[in-house]
Amino acid sequence: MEGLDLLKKDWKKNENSFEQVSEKQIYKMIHKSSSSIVKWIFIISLLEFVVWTLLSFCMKDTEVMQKFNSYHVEHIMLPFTIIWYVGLAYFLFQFFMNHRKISTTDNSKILILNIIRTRKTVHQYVWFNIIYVILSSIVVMFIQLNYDQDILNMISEFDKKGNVAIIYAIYIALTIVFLSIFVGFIWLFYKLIYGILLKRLYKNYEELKKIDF
Amino acid sequence: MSANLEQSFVQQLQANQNIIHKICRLYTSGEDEHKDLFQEITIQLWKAFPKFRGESKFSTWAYRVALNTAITLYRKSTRMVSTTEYDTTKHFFKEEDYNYEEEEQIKLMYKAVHQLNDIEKALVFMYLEDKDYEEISETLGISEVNARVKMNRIKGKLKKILNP
Repeated sequence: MEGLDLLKKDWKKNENSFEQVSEKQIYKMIHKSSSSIVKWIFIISLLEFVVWTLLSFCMKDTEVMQKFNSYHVEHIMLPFTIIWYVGLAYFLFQFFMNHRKISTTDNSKILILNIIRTRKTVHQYVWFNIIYVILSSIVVMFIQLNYDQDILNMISEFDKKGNVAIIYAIYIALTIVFLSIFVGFIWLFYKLIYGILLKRLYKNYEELKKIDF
Repeated sequence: MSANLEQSFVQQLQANQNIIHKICRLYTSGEDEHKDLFQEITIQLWKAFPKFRGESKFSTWAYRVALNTAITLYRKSTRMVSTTEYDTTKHFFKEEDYNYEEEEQIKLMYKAVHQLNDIEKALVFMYLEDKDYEEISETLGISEVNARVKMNRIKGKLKKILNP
């Protein structure tokens, strides 16, 4: 006898050799809180929803936004606000629905897939926010170039000197630099979170997929 | 949750706890980790228990939840530095049937199994538990044929680890 069969013989022989946990200890255990990956993902995801939502609300009262309101461009900004609320509602709904689907009685492949799906929803929400920031920055840039009196004055001064293109170039370049830094930072942050949270899950999911192909 | 449900769960788990211990033996490498995983599996079983309708045996149901916890849900606590790495075979041998050569081989086998990845360990676990390929495929969500193929590959891999 060799290999796994030898191990099986030993396994069977010693299956009752474990130090037994008492009923009292089990009672204690079931009242402790879980430290499972699903719980961590749930907490971190909820935090992300809260942080991104709070960020948007905080933006509303800043000086820039107040100045912005004075341009009276509600007709341009209203669709953006509606899209943002619809997006938040959609992603939150998806997140909770996916979270409810997670069941330890499913087979391992489905279980891992459902956990990964929950994370994907949050990931999509983050991308929704990033794209939203990029698009709204472009719109804001456009509005400022057309409505902001200070900028309009500056443009006309440069125009008199005959080098109006420079001011546009600087303005667009600054916006691009700012957005790149912003997106780069978020991307790095998520690489890190994903790395910590999902590495093992992805590895096991890939392994299961590999077996079936 | 009612006290009756709690009592019923605790009694059944107490009677079937060796299933969890055995999974812990494969997936952890120290006594602290063993206890930690045992606790997480117990919590997950308790959470899933209200949905357990008694259509299958408690043990069959517990196998799946426990294995899923070990493969997917369990996060090794980073705080836990295992100072008491246990020898998986240390209390297994009774003096009368002590066989040095066999003991060494079994020790090596345990070490080799510990080097496998999570999914491979699950297959080995169910093989050691005499589960048929139908149950293995249903538990992991892979086809029966591929479960067989993978099991053969694992046997080969173990041989390689043992005789590099």
